[in-house]
Amino acid sequence: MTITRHRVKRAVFLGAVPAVVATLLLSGCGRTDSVGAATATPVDDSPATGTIEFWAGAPDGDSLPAFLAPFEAANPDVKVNVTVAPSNGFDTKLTTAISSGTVPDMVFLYSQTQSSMLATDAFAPVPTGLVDPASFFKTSYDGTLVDGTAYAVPWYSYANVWYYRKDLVEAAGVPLPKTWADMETFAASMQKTGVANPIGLSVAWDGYSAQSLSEFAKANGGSFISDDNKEWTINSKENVEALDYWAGLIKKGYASADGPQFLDTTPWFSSGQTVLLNNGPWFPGWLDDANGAGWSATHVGSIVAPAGVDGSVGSIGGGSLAVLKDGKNQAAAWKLVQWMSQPDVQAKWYDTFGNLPAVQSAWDSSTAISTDPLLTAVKASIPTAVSVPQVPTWSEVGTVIGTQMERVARGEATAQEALDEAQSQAASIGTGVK
Amino acid sequence: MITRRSPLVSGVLYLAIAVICALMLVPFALVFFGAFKSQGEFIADPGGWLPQSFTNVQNFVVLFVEKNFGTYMVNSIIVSVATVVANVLFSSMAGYALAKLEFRGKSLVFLAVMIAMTVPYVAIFVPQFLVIAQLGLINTHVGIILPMLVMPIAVFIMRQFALGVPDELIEAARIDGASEAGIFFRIFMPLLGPATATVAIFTFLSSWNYFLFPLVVAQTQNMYTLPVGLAIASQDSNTTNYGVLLAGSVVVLLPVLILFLFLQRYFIQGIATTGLK
Amino acid sequence: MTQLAEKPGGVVRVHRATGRAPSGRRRHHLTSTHGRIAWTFVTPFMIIFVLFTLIPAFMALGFSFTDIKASDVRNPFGVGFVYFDTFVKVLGNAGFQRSALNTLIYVVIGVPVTMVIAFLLALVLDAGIRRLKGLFRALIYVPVIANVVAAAVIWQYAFTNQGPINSALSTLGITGPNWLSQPGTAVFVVLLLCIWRNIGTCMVLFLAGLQAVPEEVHEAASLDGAGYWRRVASMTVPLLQPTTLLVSVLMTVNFLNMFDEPFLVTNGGPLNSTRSIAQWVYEQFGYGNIAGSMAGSWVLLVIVLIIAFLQIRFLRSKA
Repeated sequence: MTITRHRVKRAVFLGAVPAVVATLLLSGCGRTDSVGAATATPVDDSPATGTIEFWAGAPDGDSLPAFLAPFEAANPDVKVNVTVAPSNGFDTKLTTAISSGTVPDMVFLYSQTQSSMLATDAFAPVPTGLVDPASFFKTSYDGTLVDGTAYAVPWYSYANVWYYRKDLVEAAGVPLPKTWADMETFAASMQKTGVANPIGLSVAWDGYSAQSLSEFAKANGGSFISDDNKEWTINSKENVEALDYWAGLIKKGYASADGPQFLDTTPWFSSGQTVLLNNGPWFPGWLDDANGAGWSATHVGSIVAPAGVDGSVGSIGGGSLAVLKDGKNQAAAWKLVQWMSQPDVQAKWYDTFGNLPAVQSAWDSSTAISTDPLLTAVKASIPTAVSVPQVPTWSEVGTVIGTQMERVARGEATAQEALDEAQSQAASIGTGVK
Repeated sequence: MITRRSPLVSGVLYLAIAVICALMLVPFALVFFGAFKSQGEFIADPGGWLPQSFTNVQNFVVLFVEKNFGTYMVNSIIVSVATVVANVLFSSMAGYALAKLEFRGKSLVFLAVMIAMTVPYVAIFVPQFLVIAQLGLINTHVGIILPMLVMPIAVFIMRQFALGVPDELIEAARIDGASEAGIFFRIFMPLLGPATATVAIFTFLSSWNYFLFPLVVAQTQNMYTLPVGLAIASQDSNTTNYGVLLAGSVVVLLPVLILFLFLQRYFIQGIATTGLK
Repeated sequence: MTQLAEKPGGVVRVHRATGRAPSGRRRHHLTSTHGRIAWTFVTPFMIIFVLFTLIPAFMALGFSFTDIKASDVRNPFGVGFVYFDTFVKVLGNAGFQRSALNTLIYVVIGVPVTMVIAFLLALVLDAGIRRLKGLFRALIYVPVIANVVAAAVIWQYAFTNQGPINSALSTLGITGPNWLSQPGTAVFVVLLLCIWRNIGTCMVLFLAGLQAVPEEVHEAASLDGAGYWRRVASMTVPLLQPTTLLVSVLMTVNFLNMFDEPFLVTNGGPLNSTRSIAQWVYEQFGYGNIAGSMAGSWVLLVIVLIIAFLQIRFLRSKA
C-alpha cells in the first residue's frame, strides 16, 4: 500500500522533471514578441516621462547620475536610474538579462563587443530623425549599423596614437618617424643612445594585439574581413606582410615580446626604456598619476601612426548607447540618447569624465579639447582609423589572431603559417553575419 | 607524544613551519601594504613593497564615501547571514536523515549530494539565472540566496557528523516515546556545536565571496554585494585602481577573518569530530 | 541553536503526529514512518537540488543538442536540433583539447603536490611540535578564506615583470624571469596560487584524520624500534586511507573545475598554456557560442564524475 503510493509519487516526480525543464527552456528564453522590426517610430518633442533604467560600465557610469541631472531638470517627470556594472562582467550581465527578458531601457555598449551584443537581436533600431548620422565620426557611426540600419548611437570616440618621449627624442636629435621605414631608423638611432626597447607594441596577445595588427594591415592595404563582412581574409598577402613587419620590430630587437604590458607600461615609458608606444588618449593621465601632474606636458608628444603603403592608420575605440526592445520606457530612453548626442553635452562629458566626443563639432567647440596638443594626433587619426571587424564573432576571432601573433613574435611560426592557422580557425568560427 | 625529540629536530621543525607560514602570509602582506598605496605609487614603482605612508587612508575613504561600500556590505551581511542560518538548519536536517533514518530513496538523495558537490559551476549558472527569472526573483535578496540555501558540502559535513552520534542515544529516546522530530531537535541539534561552526564557516565563505550570481541577479546597484561592488569600485578609466582594489580586499577579508578567528577552534574540532576521516 | 530549533514550528507539529514509532513494530512499518519524516528532512535540500542543479544541468544538456547562439536567446524556437554535432565540434576543437591538456597538467601536478605538502604539515602539527600549534594551524588555513579575486590580483601584480617578486629577487642578485609571459613559468604561477588556496583545507582534513589514529598504534611501532618514516609509511598512511580518499577526491574535483586562477591571473595565456576547461566553457558563453559552452561543460561534468568514481573505487579497493 505505502510502497505503491511511493512508486506513484516517484513516477510523478521523475516525470515532472523533464516537463519543468521543457517549460523553462521554452518560456525562459522564448520571448517571441517582436517589437518594431526594422522600422522605428520617430520620437516626438514632448518631455520625457517615467523611469529610465540605464546600465553602464564602470567607472564611466559612476559619473553619470550627476551628469544627467540637467536632463532630469529639463524633464521634471523623468527619473534616470543608472546601474553601474563591472566592465569585464558587463556583457555576461546583459546577455543573461536579455535571455530572461528582464532588461533595462538603455545600455552603454563598448565598441569592441558592440557587434556581438547587437547580434542578440535585443535592441531597437534608432528612430528616424533622432540624430544626424553625419554629425558623428563615420567610423564610429558605421559600427552601429546592422544590415544598414543603426541600432545604437555613438557616445564617445577615440583613436589610438603613438606617444613618444619628447624630451629624450629631441635631446637625441632623432627625427620622428613618418613611415614604416622611418620607424626602424628611428628605433635604431634611439637604441644607440641607450634606449633598451625603443618601441612598445601591444603584446598582451589577445584581441587588443589583433586590433593593433589591424592598423598595420590596413596601412598596408589589407583587412581581416571582406567588405561585406561575410568572409575572413586574415591570411591575405597584405596582412602577412604587415605581421612580418610588426614581428620584425621584435626580432630586430627594437621592441620586446614581453612588454610593456599591464603594470609595466608606465614604468617603461617613464624610465625611458621605451620611447615610442601605441596607446589610447588616457595614457598621458597615467603618466601624470605616476610622475606628478604636468609631467606629460613637458615629456610627452603624440604622432599619428607611421604610414605604410596605404597611408597612416590608427584604430578607433569608444562606445555607443542602445535602447532595448523589451525595455519598458523606450520613448524616454531615446530622448535621453538624443540629449546625450548634443555637441555641448558631449563636450561637457569630456570635462566631466575625459571621454572624447563622438560628435565631430564638439571637438572644436570645446576649448579643453582643441587646445590640448596631445589630442591633435588623436583627432587627425579618427577619420582614417580602422575599427575592429563589426561582426558578432570578432571577440573570439580577435583572440585567435592575438594568440597566433605571439607564436610569430616568439619565433615559433612564420607570419604566413600563423595567419593561415588563424584563418582556418576563423573560417570554422564564421563571421556570424548571415 | 611518545618519543621525545632532540632539541635540534624540534628546532628545525619549528623553523620549517614558521618559514612556511611566513610564505603563506606574503600575499596578505602585499594586499595590506597595497591598500595604503596611491595609484601613482603602483604605476611608478610596481616592484616596491612598502607604501610611502601607512596613514594614507585615501583608498578606504574612496570606498566608503564615493563608492557606497556601506550599502554593499549591508547586502552581503544579509545574504551571508541568511545563507548560514538556512544552511545550518536545512543541512542538519538532511544530514541527520541521511545518517540516522532508514528511508526509500536514501541512496538517491546521497547521490544527489555527491553530484551537486562535483558539478562545475560554469555549467549551470546561466540556467540557474533563468530559474530565478521564472520564479520572479530577479533583483531580490531571496533570488541571490536561494541557490545557496542548502549547500551540498554542508549536508555532507552534517551527515558525517551525524554518523558519529551513537545510535544508542537515539534508540533510547525512541523507546522513551519521543517523536522523530523531537529526537532531532532535542537530542541531535544540541550536539551540533562543532559541526555548526564548520558549516557556518564553509557556507559563510561561499556566500560572502560569491561574485557571478549576484552580478547577474542584482539589477540595481543598491542590491549589489561586496565582491560586485569591489569590482566596480576598483575600475579606473581603462585600468584597474590597485590601491582601491586592495583596500577593498582588506575590507572584504576582515569580517571573514574575525569570524574565522572566533570559530577556528570549534571549526577544527568540528572537522575532527565530524569524522571527515 | 535553540532559536533555530524553536522556529520551524510547522515541521515539529506535523511530525509529532506521525513520528511516533513505538518499538516492536515490524521493520517495514518503521521504515515507512521514517520515510515520511526523513523525506521532510531532506526535502529542502532536494528542492534546491532539483531547481538549481538538476534542472539547470539538464537545461545545459538540452542546449548542448542544439546550435543555440547568443543571437537566439530571445527566440529559442529558431534553433536547430543537431544531435551530437555540438559535442563532436567541441571534442574536435583545438582550443578545447588544449585546455583539457592544461587541466590534466594542473590535476597531475597540483593534486599530489598539495596533498604531500599538506600531509607533511599535518604530521608536524599533529606530533612534531608542541607549542603554538593553534596559531600555525590557523595561519596555514587563512589563505582558504581569502577572496579569490583579491588573491589573483595580488598574484598577477606580484609576478609582473617589474613587480615585487622580481624586485625582491634582484636584491638577492637574481634576475627573475618574466613569469607571466612564458608558458612554463606561467603554469607554475597559476599552480602556485591554486596550491596556496587549497593546502589549508587538505591540512585540516589530514589533521583530523591523524587525531583519530589511536596512540597505541604509534606506541606499538616505536616499541618495535621502527624508524619514524617507516612507521609513517607502514602504519599512519594505511590508517589514513579514508581521509586520503576524501582529500584526493575533493582536490581532484577542485583542480578539474579550476576557473578563477587562470582566468584572472593569466587570462589563459601565454600561448594558451594556462586556459582550463572551465575557463574555455565560460569564454565560449561570452563569445555567444552557447551550445558549445554547454556541451563543453557537460564534457567537464562527465570527466569529473568519472574520475571521482574511479578514485573512490581504486582507493576503496586498496583499503
